Amino acid sequence: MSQEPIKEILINENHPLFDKTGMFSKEFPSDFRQIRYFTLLIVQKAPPEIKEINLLEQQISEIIKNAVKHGNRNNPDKKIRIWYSFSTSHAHLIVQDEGEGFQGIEEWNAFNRKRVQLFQEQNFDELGNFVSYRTQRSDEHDGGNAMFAAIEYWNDGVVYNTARNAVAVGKTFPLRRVGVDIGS
Amino acid sequence: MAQFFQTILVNPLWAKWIAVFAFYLFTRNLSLERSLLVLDDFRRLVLVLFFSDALWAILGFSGLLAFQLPLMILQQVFATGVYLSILTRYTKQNYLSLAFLLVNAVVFLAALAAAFLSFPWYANYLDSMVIIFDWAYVGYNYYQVSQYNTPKSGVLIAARGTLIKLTITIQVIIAVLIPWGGYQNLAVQTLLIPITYLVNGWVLSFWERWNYKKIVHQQNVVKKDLAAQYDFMTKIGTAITEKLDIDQVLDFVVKSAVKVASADGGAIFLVDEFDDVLRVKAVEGDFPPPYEVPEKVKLKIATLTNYLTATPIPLGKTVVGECAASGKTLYIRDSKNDPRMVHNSRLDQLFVSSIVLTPLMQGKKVFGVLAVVSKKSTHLFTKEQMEQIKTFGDYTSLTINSLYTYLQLLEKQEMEREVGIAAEIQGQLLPSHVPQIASISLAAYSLPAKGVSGDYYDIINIRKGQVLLTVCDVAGKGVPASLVMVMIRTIIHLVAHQPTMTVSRILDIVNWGIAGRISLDRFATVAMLTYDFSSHRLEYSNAAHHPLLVFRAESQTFESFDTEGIPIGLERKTRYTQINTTLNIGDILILYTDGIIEAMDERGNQYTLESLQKVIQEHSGEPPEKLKKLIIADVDRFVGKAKQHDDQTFVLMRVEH
Amino acid sequence: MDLKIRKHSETYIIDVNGEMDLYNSYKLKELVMKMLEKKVEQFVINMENVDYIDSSGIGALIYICSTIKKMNLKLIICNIHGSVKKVIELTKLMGYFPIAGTVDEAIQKITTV
Repeated sequence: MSQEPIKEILINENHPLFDKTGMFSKEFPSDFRQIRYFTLLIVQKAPPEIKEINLLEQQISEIIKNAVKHGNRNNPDKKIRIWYSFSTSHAHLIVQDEGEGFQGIEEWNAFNRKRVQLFQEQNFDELGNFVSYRTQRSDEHDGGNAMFAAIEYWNDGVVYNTARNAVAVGKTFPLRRVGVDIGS
Repeated sequence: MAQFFQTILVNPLWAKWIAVFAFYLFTRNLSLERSLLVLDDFRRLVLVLFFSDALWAILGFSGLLAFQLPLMILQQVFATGVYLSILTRYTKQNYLSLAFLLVNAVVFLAALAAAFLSFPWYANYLDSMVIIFDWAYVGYNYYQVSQYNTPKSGVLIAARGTLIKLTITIQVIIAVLIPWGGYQNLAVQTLLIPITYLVNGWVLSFWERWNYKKIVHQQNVVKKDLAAQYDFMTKIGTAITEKLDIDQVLDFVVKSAVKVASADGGAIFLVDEFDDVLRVKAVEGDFPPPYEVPEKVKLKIATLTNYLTATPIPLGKTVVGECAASGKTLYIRDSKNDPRMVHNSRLDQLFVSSIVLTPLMQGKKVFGVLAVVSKKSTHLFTKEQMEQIKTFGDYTSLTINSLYTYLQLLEKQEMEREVGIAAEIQGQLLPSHVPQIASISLAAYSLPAKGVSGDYYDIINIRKGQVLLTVCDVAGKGVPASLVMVMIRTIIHLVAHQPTMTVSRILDIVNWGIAGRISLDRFATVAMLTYDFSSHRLEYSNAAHHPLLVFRAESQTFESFDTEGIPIGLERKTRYTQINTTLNIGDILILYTDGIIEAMDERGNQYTLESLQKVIQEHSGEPPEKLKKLIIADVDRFVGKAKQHDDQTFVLMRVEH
Repeated sequence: MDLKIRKHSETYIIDVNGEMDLYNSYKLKELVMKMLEKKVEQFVINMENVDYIDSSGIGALIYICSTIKKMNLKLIICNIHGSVKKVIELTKLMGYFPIAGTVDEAIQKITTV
């Protein structure tokens, strides 16, 4: 089985995922208690035909949590701004906070690369050392694994802006079908 | 005169003609329905024999006996020609080679010459030699046929032995009898030559019997087939009505297919819903993976089966993928030397000797493959078995297709039913009409975006002289959100009438009642106010909802009132606060939800609070009912053709006295 | 989210009900720590009634898993399904967590190995 290329967090303000045309937008105070509520308000706009909408909700909540907790340090006076749009085939989200930015992107990419390599080699013993990405600011409630799932889930990309305080993510949902045409 | 009759009666021609006639009768009785293609050839043979014998008789009567010989040669050449053309039907080769034609031509000319000249002694031998040569030539070509180089050669192989040996034996006997007159010998003419004619009849009847046996066999197979298929169809029909489980149906199909084909194993593959691969969905018996398998997996049967089930096959790859990609039945009768079969050596543990794959399709869409395998080189699937598997595949396709359609409809129905239930619950919740209360006038409006609204509003006479207004926006959709709405409404109605109740306290209680429930879309924003008619006192509290908007008649300006607080349902212990004010006659207040302020036009612009304020300001003299219509009209005008994306709700109140 | 404990001979089964999210995942961690103090040696975490898990929940499971591994005790997580399974797959932790299909399989695995 051929190995897939290892995905990376990109830094590119001009990436198409940062194009806000046609997206709804909402602003929220950085209140840690309301993270799932904000998520619910956003996911409400997603069409019910989307499969695994639970998973979509969870992935969105992780991004919002990052912005609220790590970006704005749970300070309710700081705001997060969210742009979002959904269709039966796509989900597109941009979350911006007022923080100093995710400085450790390169470090994270290197960490993740090592992690995925260990996984491809099925080296579960060593992998145990790479299951959680922690920085100085991580506390005991941080799983340190949200971005690992995110980089796999958001198959259109995970992109930060230059200031690293806004992240744009996109997902294309595989279209369900029954049967293929002959000759394909 | 008497001699004339004697000549006629004693003429050996009778024997010949009786033989020809019998032969003719036999060909005549065989109807075309028995589809004996060689019949045409034998009919030609009858004609050749008849006409040449007629000519022979004429020659005899005319005394041109010498010319009877070249005629005989010609007759034999035509007869062997007929047999060669029969052979051509099977092998598609031309046997009228130069050598053959040359020899016969030379002998014919020699015989002709002999007839014109005196009848030399070798003339009769010439005839016999060439006839034996011709039949040896026919025999040689017939013996070239084997089951490997000629399809449907069974009948040739079975018939040729008797045909060739008999005919040549008779010709040799005739040749041997030449010193006793050869063809002029009465015994030869009356017995042996007619016998050669009858041999042809026997050969034809052999063909006919062979064909008949084949048809009867086919009929029996078809009968057995039909019985098995009827059984199969009934069982599938029952299986479906008992439980709508595609997996069970597939299991049943593959079991039946394996049984009917006497196969060693079978499997059903279905095309994945998302990727272009085929996955095993049902297995029966021993079905070896049609691709290379790592050594350590081959060690245990359990791991082999797991490997088979876990490995997706890309469309177009392996015989399975090929069958799916082409949409045609793939029948490899003998895997030996077929490069498509990966395990075609008997020494291979995963050896497959014969395989039939048939696609499961609907129209031009392939959604799966049914395959059966034989692992014994002594048992190769026959064409009949292949046809049976094909029929199974066709019927299974129809069944599964209906099943899928039915399941899809069910799913859609479920979704619609849920929306219907939610809408019904909601219908019970909202006030059916706006109550008429003495000193105020009210208007309320609520329009859901898609079937079920996440908005709830209520107008309650809590006690004499006091009214409670509330607007609530529940996060989430469908039945769960509707249930949360029921809970909120119930709690409000339960506690609002209590004498010491205040709006902030009501919110505390509602929040406490909702929060902490597991797995519900339990969040909502609420705006709530009470108004006392005599004191004109307004108390307002909200849980993360939009501020209350009050239009002061006197100053013709807007005031907004807001309180701190997170949405209800998040934390049990949240405490809400309230804010008070006094209203004057002519003051208008409005409670609204997101859907009004955030209503979007086609370019994505929002309606905004300012637009709402503008309408109220410009028409502040109008009663709430009229104002409501004006607001709705203004929002509609702004939105234009754009679709409504959020529920729109608002409640208007104006102080009259 | 609520947690219930039951016992099957020497194995303790924790039935988790509800969602394991950023607000309540610590509860599972605390419970397991308490049980470790009480010298429990065989754990089965039954996720049959868990329909939602986020990075905090997974973090809690990772913490529990590594602690138990370090102490050379036994843990099996069972009945993961739906989006919970999907998230664990996305995070590439399927080989890392000791997993079984059902509670019975988990108990069997714990007692035989």
